[in-house]
Amino acid sequence: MRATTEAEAKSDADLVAAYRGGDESAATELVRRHGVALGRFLYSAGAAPADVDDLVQETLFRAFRRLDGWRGEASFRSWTFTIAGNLLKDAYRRRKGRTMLSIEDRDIPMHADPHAELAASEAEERLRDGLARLPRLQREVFLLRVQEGSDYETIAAALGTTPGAARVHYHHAVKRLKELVS
Amino acid sequence: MTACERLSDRMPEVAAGAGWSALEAAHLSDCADCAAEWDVVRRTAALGAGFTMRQEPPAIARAVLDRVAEAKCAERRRSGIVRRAVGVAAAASVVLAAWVTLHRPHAAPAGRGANAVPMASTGRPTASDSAATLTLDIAELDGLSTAELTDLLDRMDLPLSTGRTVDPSGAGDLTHDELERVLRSLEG
Repeated sequence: MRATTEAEAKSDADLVAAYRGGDESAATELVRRHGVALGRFLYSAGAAPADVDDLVQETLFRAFRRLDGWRGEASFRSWTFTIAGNLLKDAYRRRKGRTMLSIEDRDIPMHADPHAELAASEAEERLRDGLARLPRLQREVFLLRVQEGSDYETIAAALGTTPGAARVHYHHAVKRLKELVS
Repeated sequence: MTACERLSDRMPEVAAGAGWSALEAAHLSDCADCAAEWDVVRRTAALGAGFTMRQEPPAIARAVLDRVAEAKCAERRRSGIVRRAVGVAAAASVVLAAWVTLHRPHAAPAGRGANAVPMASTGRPTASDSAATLTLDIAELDGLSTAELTDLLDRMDLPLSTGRTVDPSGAGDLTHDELERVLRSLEG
């Protein structure tokens, strides 16, 4: 319990350093901090609800395997979101451009799956569909800004763009979503 | 910055729990465009809010770290194989270089004889010999005419059976020393 409390007090950078130094509980704390947010991001970006858990694990696997790639310019969470975005892009390519939302996923009864809570109203599905249709940068900027409350500087660092460009992507995303959703 | 832009910038913050000011709330109720944007932002902020992971973080971390360890092992195995292959290739090239050096005839001086004979691996010149085959300088051939060279080549092409051969019959009756003497006499 004491170890958990100590880990909770550490910054992401400290936890990453601790993990590199062989402290596996640091990895557990990073998963605890960012796993759910990653799941929300993947779900919002168009991943099928049944795939979200696997995609979260795959994202974390890629992140821990390439921890040297995180240099702290962006937050650890934003960095894992970009890995998740790449993963979704690969999955999207493998499915040859078909949207990742499937009729089967929408038809899962509310009580049949722990993820039933995620199966939302038709309006929510329209929103997810709209997000999935956005160009990748627009979608990721929009989700980082709206779901994570990240400022444009942080978003720009995470996505390898400029704050000005991130702002433009955000406004394009809003404009397209208003058209697609309403 | 217009009132719409200011409101747009505030939307993520308000979606995360902060409230609208009275002025902002008034603008929102009057501006259909801002209201539509707020609807998108508000709903996106709530998207997947009920998501929970099937496994607890320690189990996920364990699974992830096991996979990372496995992947690192596989990587090490692969790089070990590559290192060994490179080592074998390097050793082979050293052996090959040594072999070529030992079997190469002495380098010919500049302007070597015109009668350098290309030698295939059989030791006999053949029509298919290319520039890549070894060559031997035979200075004695430099003085021969074309006719003499042709005659020499014809004689070299005679089958072995037409030349002097050793009759091995009866050799089985000889002692080891006697055999040695016979062989020495044949070699001159």
